Amino acid sequence: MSTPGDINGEEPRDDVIAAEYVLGLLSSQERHAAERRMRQDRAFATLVYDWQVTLETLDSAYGAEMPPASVLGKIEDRLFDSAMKAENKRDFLAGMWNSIALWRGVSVAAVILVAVTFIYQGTPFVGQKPGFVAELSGEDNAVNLVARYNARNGVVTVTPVAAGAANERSLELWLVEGENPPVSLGVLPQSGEGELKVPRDIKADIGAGAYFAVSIEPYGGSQTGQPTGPVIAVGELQSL
Amino acid sequence: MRASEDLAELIARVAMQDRTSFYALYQRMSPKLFAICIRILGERSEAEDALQEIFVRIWQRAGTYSADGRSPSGWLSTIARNHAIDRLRQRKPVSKDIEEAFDLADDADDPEQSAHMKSEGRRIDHCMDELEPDCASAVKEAYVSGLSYQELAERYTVPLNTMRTRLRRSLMKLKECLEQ
Repeated sequence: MSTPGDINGEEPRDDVIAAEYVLGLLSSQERHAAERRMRQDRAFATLVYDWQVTLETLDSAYGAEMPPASVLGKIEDRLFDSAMKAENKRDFLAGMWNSIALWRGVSVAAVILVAVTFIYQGTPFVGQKPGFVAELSGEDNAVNLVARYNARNGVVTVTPVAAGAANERSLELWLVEGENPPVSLGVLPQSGEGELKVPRDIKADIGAGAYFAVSIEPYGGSQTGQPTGPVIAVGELQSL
Repeated sequence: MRASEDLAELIARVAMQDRTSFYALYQRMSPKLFAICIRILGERSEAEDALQEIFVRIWQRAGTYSADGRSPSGWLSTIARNHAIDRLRQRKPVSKDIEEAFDLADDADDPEQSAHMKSEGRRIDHCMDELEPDCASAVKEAYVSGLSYQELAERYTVPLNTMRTRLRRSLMKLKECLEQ
């Protein structure tokens, strides 16, 4: 390892090298050398481990940032072959349809379709594919959202109109289309206007007559693949 | 401690190739790991690629996680930091927006961490306080933002060798304090 010498002209001590590795100060080449050494030299590996444990308290400086929904799709593409993926998705979303039926039901545990507004915008994008828009509003007015789907680039733009959700929760957007199981379109950004990139295989399902629904989930989104919190808004997609 | 036990259980299930748990783990941890990528790489599209690779590794390496004292969130963050730093160091000489790199995120309370780290955290806080303020913040900035000695030297407007010497001395002091 070509780490320059220490103050006294000595090579740096192993625990300093281990710390430099954990801090991320080493060059690419030095990092690889340190990793090779960790595999062969148990004492050195222990030094690295100790620094990792010690310094992990600094991880609290990182906040949280919602990744775009497309990332998970790419991970699935790399890890799971498509047949198994489809099967898995069915499992993942199994039982969801029942809860959607519930959402649409009369009894109002949490859900009611308050208003679906048709927004007419003339013909602003002549010659382009149509977009869709849904205004989503909830019974208790916790949140109002306008979701726009741009068929040209497959982007759903969501604008919270009066967001007042508890800050440790996430809003998750679902696509409900015909009798198919609902599909998660991802977790909405915590604040402000947000965009979700619709996975390629879902694009075809988005059209007039489908619904967008938003549920309140634990931070980061539903862990079960089913809505676990109240559905606060449902809206039908209308042609622009 | 409960949150961290749940997380350890999820990782254990992922090790058994349980995809539902993998999705759950992704839902739960991707915002935090993505924040790490953005902070270190400074660029969203590269951070997305990095996050993808990180979760592929988590799927492949979940079996190597064992509850031997490492907190599950620390284990996951280490995978993320290591990968982000590898990418950063493989880039051509740094062209990172320094301002952005120092835009410290607020220390949002993370239950997975705060539970596990209370005692360890107090000890390192105490030892960090023993360092000169500049040195303590250089250690933090190196860790959190993945800054190189060169970038730290520019940031603190001292020669590279001075920076290196100071930081190494700080690390040795930190180690001595932690061992007391």
